[in-house]
Amino acid sequence: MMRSNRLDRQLRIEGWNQQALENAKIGVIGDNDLLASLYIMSASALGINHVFALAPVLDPILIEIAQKLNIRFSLTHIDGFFTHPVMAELFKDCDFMVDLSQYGLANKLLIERGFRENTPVIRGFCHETNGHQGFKVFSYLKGREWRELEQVVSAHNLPKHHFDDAVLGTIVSGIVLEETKNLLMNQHPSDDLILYQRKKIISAYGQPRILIVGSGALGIFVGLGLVYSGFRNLTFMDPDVVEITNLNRQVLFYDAVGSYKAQTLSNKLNALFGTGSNALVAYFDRNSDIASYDIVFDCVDNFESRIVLSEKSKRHGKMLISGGTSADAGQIVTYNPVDDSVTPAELLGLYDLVEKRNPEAYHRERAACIYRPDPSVIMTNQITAGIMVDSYRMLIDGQKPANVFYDSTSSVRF
Amino acid sequence: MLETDLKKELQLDEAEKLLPLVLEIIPGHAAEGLIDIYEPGSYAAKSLKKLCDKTLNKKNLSIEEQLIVEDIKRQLDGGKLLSRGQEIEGTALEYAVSEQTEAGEKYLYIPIRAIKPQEGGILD
Repeated sequence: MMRSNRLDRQLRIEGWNQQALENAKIGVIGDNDLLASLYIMSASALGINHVFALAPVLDPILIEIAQKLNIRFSLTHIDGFFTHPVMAELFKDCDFMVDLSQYGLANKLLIERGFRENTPVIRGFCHETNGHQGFKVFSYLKGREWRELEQVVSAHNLPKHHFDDAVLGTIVSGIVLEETKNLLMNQHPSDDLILYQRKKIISAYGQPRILIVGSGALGIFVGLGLVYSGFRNLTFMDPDVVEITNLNRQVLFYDAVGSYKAQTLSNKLNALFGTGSNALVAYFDRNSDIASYDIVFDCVDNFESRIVLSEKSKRHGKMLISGGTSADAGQIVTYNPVDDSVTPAELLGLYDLVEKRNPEAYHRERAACIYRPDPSVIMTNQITAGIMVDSYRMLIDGQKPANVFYDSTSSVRF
Repeated sequence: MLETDLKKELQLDEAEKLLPLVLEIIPGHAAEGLIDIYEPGSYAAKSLKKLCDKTLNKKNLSIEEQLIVEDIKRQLDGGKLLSRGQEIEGTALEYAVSEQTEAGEKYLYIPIRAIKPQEGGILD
């Protein structure tokens, strides 16, 4: 009962095959960074129960979250690098491999094994070249011996220092997990190399005062991304309490059903990462004061609040990064009062949408998700949140982030 | 990909303003959209919004094109037309980029996406 409640929001997705996820055995090859741990945490939230990981290290915080989220989750961790073909024996029972490593020897051995044994390999990694940073994801299946393979094999053959970034890693692990789901449910994985790239960030961040409105899945991953980036002056705002049906995506709330989301999120980040974040248990409305903040992250789940956030940010000249998700899509619209005349609510036409609504049909109450829930999964939330944080880092660095419209059902993801 | 979009130089030289314009309206993130070609002189003075309306109201569509238009209309039920994530205001020339076919023929291109806002939490 508890399991089906926890997974309720994704079980509502048409054609969803939870059993395929729960019965799968996934082999994960990691490196000495956070990427494999981020993937494993999200895979556990999604209901994948069996992971075999070969990596020199896994992050204890993220692995503890993975184990507490999903009581059926089992992880076999072998400490080391994938450097010899005989090591493939360790993964002989796995349905397919997820390669998150940064050395060419593992990449080549895994693709060769995928070709020989006809098992898919999903490859994802952060990269830094010629002053640019980004990530690449490619799903290799036998027969896809395409030129894209050249782009996903690391230049260095043996493990060594490499570019690592927890925010880009959050996005990569979300996309790799989506490809995992696609393969397990016999849905079509992306044909294309999934590529994200921007100029290298060189500015120091400082400690701006950051307001995150909404402490659900988006708010959690925005909070994690900000903390991993070094931001400490955070305030979370949300009036709702944690429901069991939140737990397929709201990864930090595994032991907090019934508690206030904003308070729990703030407490968790303070305990795990030593931040000094604050919580406001309240709705964001026209009386909310944003004057004391430098930047506002819009992580709410309704258009009405997003309109108020847009209007207040414009009036007070505050930067606003607005995120919205569905089960298979995500949107990130950035508003910088210095450059932009149009707010996210104006750009997306939210006024028309709200005006057209039947006020009786749309009656937002606390924890409205209980009454008329949309399907929701972890992947689009972590991808959207990661891009929101990366957009903010670009703004601080003087770059102009593009508005991003992500669609997991299309080969053209961005 | 995103950075390439940002880098695109939207300022066209005078010669390029005499090229045919290819307007593609894409439903969401589909790989293909509804394509319309405007000859030089037929689009320069018109707003991009009007060109989009004209394209969406084209008659004699093939079955494939009709399916694309249905997808676009589904997205536009509560959605908007955006070009590279931005509002479409002004003339087509403000949004066009110069491209060329494999045979070397130059043309102007504007990708428009019909995007529906994502809310999360509540069913309409």
